[in-house]
Amino acid sequence: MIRKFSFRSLMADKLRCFCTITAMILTSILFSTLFTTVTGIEKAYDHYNIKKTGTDYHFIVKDTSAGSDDTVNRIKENGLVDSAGRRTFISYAVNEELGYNVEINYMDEEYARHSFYGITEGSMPSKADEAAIDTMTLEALGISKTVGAPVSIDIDVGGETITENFVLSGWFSNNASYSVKIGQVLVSEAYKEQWASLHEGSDAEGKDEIGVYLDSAYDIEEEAAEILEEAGAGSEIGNVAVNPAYYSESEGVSAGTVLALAGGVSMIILIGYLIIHNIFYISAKRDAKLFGRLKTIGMSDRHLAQFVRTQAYFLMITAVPIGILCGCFIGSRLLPFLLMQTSMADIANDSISLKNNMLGILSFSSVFVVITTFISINGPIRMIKKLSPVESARIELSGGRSQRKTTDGSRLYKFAFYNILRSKKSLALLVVSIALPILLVIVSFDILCSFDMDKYLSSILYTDYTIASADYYKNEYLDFDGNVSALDEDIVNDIRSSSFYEDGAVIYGDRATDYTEIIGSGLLPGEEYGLNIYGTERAALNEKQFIESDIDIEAFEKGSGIIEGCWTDSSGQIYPGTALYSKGDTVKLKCSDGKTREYTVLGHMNVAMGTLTTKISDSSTMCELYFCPEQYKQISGNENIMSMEFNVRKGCEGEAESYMEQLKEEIPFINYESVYSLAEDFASMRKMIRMISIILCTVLTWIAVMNLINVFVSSILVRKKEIAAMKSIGMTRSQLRKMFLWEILYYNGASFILASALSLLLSVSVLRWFINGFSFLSFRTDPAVYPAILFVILFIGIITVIVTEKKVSKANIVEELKTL
Amino acid sequence: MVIRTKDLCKFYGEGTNMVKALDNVNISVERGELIGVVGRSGSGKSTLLNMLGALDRPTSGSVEIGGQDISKMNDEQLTAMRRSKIGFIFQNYNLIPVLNVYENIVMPIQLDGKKPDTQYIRSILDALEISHKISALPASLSGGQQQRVAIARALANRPEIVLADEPTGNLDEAMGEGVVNMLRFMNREFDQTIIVVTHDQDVAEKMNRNIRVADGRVSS
Repeated sequence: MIRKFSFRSLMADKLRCFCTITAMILTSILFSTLFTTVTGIEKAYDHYNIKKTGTDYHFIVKDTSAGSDDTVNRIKENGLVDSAGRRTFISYAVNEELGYNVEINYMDEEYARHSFYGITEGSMPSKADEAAIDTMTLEALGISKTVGAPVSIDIDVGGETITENFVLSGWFSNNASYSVKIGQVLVSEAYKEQWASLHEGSDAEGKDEIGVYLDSAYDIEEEAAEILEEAGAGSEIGNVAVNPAYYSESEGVSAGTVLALAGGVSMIILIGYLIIHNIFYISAKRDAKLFGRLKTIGMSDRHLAQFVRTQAYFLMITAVPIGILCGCFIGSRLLPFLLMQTSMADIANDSISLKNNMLGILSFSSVFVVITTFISINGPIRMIKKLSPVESARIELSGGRSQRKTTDGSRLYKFAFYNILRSKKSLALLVVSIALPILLVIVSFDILCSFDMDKYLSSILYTDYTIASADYYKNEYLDFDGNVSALDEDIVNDIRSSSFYEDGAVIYGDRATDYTEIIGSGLLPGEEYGLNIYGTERAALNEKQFIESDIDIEAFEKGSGIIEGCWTDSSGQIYPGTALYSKGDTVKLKCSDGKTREYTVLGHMNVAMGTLTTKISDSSTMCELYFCPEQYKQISGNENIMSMEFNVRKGCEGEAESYMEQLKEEIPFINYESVYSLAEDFASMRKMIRMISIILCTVLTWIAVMNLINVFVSSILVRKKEIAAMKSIGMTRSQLRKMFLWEILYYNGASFILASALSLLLSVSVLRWFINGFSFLSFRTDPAVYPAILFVILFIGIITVIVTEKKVSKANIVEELKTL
Repeated sequence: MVIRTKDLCKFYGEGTNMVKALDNVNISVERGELIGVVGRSGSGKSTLLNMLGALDRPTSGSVEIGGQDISKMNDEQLTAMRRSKIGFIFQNYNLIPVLNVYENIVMPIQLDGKKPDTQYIRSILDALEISHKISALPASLSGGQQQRVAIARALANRPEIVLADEPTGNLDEAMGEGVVNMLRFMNREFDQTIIVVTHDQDVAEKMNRNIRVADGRVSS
């Protein structure tokens, strides 16, 4: 009976029912859009980082001799593995038309798909004379996109060139996110076997790789070892290369970030709670008279609570699924648009699968709205329980006071003030629910204002340019054959003799594990280590990277002392396990020339930034030692230039950039980074954060506006009869409008003042500390945000008043006066 | 002539559901008349009063107040006319809960941008015996006190016309009589035109003239 009555009562006022459902749908839409977009961007960012590395496999077993079908199948069957694929590098295509590296590979379909070379049209090559080629290379070769088109490929075989004729079996898009321009010719397994039989045992014989995609990326290295052991390929463990894109996933999050995130999420949940609470509180207030009458005819508090809950169930069943599905749809449609605005534009049209997360998004959004609704309806239920039938009949008269000694209360500004004070609880709820979104908007704006390019650049790069091999930037300081990928000395000399060159330094570097031994490394017997050695000119040593403040540079330059490279944690302390020695220790090395040399460890420096490290990690224990160039040359017996850093003369920036661009064009094996390209990355990151902020601010503004409209319109609807009485005794429409304007001004003014006060309080305390903790942010605030917000809320307020007054003016005075 | 209606009709609904609340009503009210509108419940008395007070628009016909056809006025003009020429006394008072007694009473004057005549207001408050309640908010008043505040508000602006809908409906006999005497006094003293809707025969008898409404038609 209660259920039926509750439902009918809800449906009796269809407009009100519609408004309430709309408000709940909008709330659900707002939150599910936000969750979808944020999850989508996070996914896209991961996808982008993965795509930049060229594969989404968790690890690759390189140069494997275990690339047989049996091994691959055994790996595939492992419970930890989601999928595995195989690739064999054949050679490079060297057709004259190709001004960039084009690899010839055999990849099975799995491997191609995981390397972002999934066939878009046609099919993977299956016969020995078939090849699938990327669209960029097809264009460069002047071949039309037609299955069966003849393709002639010049192939490099140990320095000689042979020409092979294929037919085009299909094509695929290039991986535009890949950091190096590279083309792909995919050949069939039949061709691979034919090639292997021709070049067996020679350098030209293809090297196999197995790519493995795991079910989860929890501990890739350990899982890789376990999988290979179980597949009978334990000897290949040393060849495992973990995809660096997955390292970032497992990086710890600082306590500050967690706190900030928790704060942000709590605030959003609080805002959501307030908006839903307001919907039900206002609805119950409007129904107070009805509840009073129901009490007089014998309805108990329990019945009334059931009455409200039934209405809430109905509203939730109707509004939540619609709202959440719409929100997810909007969010997923919005995502490509957002990505297009950023450096991730290349992946904007990739189908970033939110499938796995969608269930989570849907469940979280639903649970969020449902729980919030349940909590929210308790307040109104308590209010109804407290109502006495007599009080409810005179609810519009209840004001809490019995006297007021004023004589000018009908002045509109005073009248409006008295009106908003009628229900102090509603006023407080409204002010808080508008103030919180405004506060978040101010905080978002502060974060945007705090983007500091100089701080960002100084945290990554210390000179205007760094130059190294393309391999170095792509992955690590090794080429495909596993040799260090050093820079040609002529390139360095040319740069040094250029007119734009101001100053700079080269960093010699080598993987020295094979020829240099640390005597008495302090490691346990059997424990392996990898050794990278460097020769660093003085100019490449930046004091900002030094861990100890008193490193004796003189001793370093003389050659008696060395600096050990390490990684640091977020507090600037040496990351455990990344330094073997303490300051003052003596390192004894057995060098390539057979001699033993001794050095004193002068201190440590953070090599995580810039181009100071090879990025090679042969072993879980790595030793990175920095010498002066002379010592390096003596120890290693080589002059491998790993990278070069240099600054540009003032006013020659354009000249330097065009020189470097041309250099890269002419010598595709080199690459460079500059403050300018990083500035672009920075701008792109800023743009993305701005887009997220805009969405967040839009959502929050919507919430604030909905709250304002909901409370304001409801407060007017509750006073319909009173307004009719005022009109009957001579209040004109313009006077009514002015009174409403004063009311909304008070609501907005109070919210704005509260939000501003809180934002100032936050600015001088937590926010400043939190923002300055980021490497690319320096706390800054722009006072312009305050008038801007004030303007927006006033504008919305005025529009709300105009629309509401128009609606009210349409009501018939006589009809309104008749209402009970 | 202060008020005149010509073929005044007010219909609600359509077709078979149509209710003729007022059907071709033609009445004339001279300045200074004290008129009672009587009739059974649902006969159309209150509808007629609302029409005369420019609170509602007729379906057809016309209402002239002070020689002006109100159907030709816009909302703003109607409101201004109500404020300056008409005082309403509602059966359920319709006081503004956030304003005290004094502020409720002077509201129409202040809305008109004028200063209230405090001496005159004081005299009304004294006559209605609510002088001691000027700072009280409506919620703290009894029904009778609220009705008297509503009457004071209707009279505060010295309107030409006072329209009262069952002004004694919620009052005890003595208080009801006091209100009627007050209306008679206002009529006599200030030459105000007063129209009172009532179903109370005693009240009707104290009026100078009575208009009987039955089924939407004026019968006498």
